Amino acid sequence: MTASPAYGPAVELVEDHAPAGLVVDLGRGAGEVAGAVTRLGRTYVAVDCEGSDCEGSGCAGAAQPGFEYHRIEPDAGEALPQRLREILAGRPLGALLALDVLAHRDAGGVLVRLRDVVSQHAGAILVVSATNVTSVEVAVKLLQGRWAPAGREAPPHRPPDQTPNQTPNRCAHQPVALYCATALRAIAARTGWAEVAGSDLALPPAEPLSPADDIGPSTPLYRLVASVRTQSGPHAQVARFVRAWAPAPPVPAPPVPAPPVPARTPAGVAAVAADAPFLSVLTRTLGDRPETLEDTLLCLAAQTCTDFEVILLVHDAPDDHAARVGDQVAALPADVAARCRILAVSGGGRCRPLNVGIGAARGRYVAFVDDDDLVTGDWVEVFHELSVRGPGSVLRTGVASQEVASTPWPDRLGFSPVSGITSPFPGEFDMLDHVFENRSPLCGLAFPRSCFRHLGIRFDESLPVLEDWDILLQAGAWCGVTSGSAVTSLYRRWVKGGSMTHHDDEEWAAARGAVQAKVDRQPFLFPTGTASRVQALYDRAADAEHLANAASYELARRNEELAELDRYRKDLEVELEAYRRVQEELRRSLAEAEGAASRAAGEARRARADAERAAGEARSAERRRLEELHLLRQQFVSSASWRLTRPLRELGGLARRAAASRGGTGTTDGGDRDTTGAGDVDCRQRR
Amino acid sequence: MPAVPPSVQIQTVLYDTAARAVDRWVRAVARATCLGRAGGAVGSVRVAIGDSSAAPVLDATAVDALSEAAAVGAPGGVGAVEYHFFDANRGSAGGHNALMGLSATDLVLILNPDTVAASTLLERLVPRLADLSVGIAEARQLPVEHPKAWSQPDGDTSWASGACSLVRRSVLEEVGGYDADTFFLYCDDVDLSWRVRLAGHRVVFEPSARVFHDKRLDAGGRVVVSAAEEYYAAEAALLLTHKWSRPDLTDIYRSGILAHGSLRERQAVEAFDLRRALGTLPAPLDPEHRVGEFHEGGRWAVHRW
Repeated sequence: MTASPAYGPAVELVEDHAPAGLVVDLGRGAGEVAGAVTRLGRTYVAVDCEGSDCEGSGCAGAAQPGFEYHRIEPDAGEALPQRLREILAGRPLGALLALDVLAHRDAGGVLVRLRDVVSQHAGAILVVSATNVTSVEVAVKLLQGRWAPAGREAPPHRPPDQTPNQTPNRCAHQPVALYCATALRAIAARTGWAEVAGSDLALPPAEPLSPADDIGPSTPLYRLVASVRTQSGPHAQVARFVRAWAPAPPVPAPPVPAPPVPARTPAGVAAVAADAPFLSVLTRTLGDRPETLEDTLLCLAAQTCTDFEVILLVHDAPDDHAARVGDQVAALPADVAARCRILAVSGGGRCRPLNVGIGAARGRYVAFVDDDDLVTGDWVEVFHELSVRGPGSVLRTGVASQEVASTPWPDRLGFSPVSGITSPFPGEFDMLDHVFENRSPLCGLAFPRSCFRHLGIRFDESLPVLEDWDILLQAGAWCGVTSGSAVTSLYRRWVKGGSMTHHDDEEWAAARGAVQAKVDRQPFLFPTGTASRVQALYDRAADAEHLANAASYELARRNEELAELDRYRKDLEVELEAYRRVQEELRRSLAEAEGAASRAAGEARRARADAERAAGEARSAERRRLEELHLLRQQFVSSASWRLTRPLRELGGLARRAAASRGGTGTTDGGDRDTTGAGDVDCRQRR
Repeated sequence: MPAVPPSVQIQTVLYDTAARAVDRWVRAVARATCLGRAGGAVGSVRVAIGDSSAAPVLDATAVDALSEAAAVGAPGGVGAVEYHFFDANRGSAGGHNALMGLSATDLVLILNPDTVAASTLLERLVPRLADLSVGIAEARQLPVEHPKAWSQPDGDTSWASGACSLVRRSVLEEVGGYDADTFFLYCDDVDLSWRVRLAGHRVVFEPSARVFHDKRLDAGGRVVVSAAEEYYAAEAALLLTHKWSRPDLTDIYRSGILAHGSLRERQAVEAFDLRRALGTLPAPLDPEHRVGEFHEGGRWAVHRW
């Protein structure tokens, strides 16, 4: 006989929370339980109330040597409290272990009867356990079309001293309790129990359930399921709930919820909006931009579909700013103001108010509009239409952008657009694109509240920026995205002024890395059709690679040509250098020749000048000599001897003329000419 | 502000407007009236709705419901909502002229039926007309703000949109209201503004006064324009250039439309030509071009972007 796998945590609860008194085990009297309780210094009493369910299976309880043992017929029913009181026989009760009672066909009735007994002993507790039907293990088995919760095929937690060949072979007829945490709380409340403490039994860490034929913890499917379940609640890794309860006033069960109201057209949805609106609009504000907030509120007041609530999240605002926000809401038309709530949020970063708002949202979808965003009149209406097309998915509409800047208004500081409206974001959603970068501003998205409520998705408050990208990747991967191309919101981009928080490039890069790391940490679900998209991208990449190869080849060819040209250039440079040298030599030679010529010319000029000077001097000397001769002649002819000899000279002349007339010249050497000028005198005299 | 707050008639002209939109419109103006009266900006306020539709948009029950909604939104501030079915399509200009003649309030707030007034609209807009030099004060439109320029800080602007403009009645009477004979749907507000300025009054823009104008955007972020708007916008451009003594631009627009315009726009040219042939075009104004502004791209003012 072996004990329930929950016995260890159960004994811990007894030790920590049960007062002194008997520990009565409505189980099978397993030796491990008895021993553990006894080691606490408490008195163990085994009560075997199983029987008919297991008759013939060999698993009926048995007395443990050395311990008090009782047997109660399985159909004791209303007599159960009396039978237990008989067993107690006036002794104080510390704890009642009923680890399998929740699996009983009439678990509620049994719990009520046990309460009658336990409530008569001050401080006594009831310890129960139940298989957690929401564990990762169960989810993975169900995905495989199998059903065998923990404890059915093998114990989820093996005691340290138990070797594999000691694995208990529990009866297939053993009752299996299937509870989620909520159901456990509900049956406790309904039957008059309040939880005192819990010591849940964990799944074995990363141990394959059955390596041969199970989806093991290392498989992408298991990891995906584990990530979804871990995100969505605290009990993903709990195999069995083990809880200590104390008697409390019973709480009536809530009424059965009405069936969901079918989707209606925008014209009719307002009538059903009072209880659970279609949309919760979360608007975070620091309270310091009253003018832009008034714009935003006016846009919301003008919606054609009024099936929405507005939650204004006033974050870390001074009292006067918060009061002003209240005044702005109060100023709205009554039917709009009635759909607005204001929540003050303290501390945290820019994600904190969004998470607070998510917790307070009542709508089937949740959308986000900052206090400077604008939306068109059909913003909610288009979300509603998309929700009909893709129920339960993230809804995405087009977003346009406009630059604005602070500017003075006639009586206050205001703002003004400084650019036209642009549409920089793609009309259709593509998850593959979004893995690389965010292309969907938050004001164009509406998330099913179930992804917050049931899947546990929240804005990552550790991110200073890009929190919208992160949450879209999470919710979009798990819930899908239904998108429409119509632009229904206007994202204002401040180029001057405003109260935006500015972040440097490093923060952006770090946040981007963090978001992509989160995507990488777990299997990521891409929507249907992604394979084709990947194929198209692969083809484009292949085309690009082909083009790149061609370009590379061409580049290499051109480089070779360039190299050839370079070589040619270098040769030319060598030749040019030689030419330059020759030219230089020639230039130098020419310069030298020119110098020599110049010098020769100078010398020639000097020689010529010398010659001219010498000639001049010669002429001057000749002139002087002639003048002297003339003077001498004058002196001679003036002399008395010359005058006396004149007749002789005239006779001599007559003789020379006579001889000449006879044909003889006398002499031919001209010796008779008077080179002294005397002849001239003669000539002149003859004329 | 004057010792006695001015009385205001708030009016709009319907054309096949959805009853829900009218309800939204009335609730908004009622709330604006409530706050305007509480702040002392306005005195008595009356609401007048004209209907140019082929069949009445509202029946008696609906009108009663609107009156009740207005009374709830502005207790004691707005009397019964007046509803006038014209039984003819008078267009925007003709409809507003008809409604103006129904009362003698100090001011007239002209609104489009596809608008939603901000609660603070009257308390922000009415004080601008305390300055007697101002003839028209215009509110800022959301979510698509008009790009026309305005001077800082006074707010003077070329013209005021009829989507939401507060007009001094004396000025309206001085200039004879809208030129409904010339303009049917578009540019009636431009023409009125310029005639007001030609008469020596100012037209100002008040950015803190808001009105939501229910324009829709296509996937490219452009305002969606209906086929009727296409026709009347083209016709109005021709008429405006003619009336404000820019026949050169009339010819340019005309030839441009004939060469590149849509079918609707070419039909508008045909209608204009017919008027010219019949001699029913208005007499040109402002030959010295003191007021009329015509800028590239068919703009009647300098645009901020």
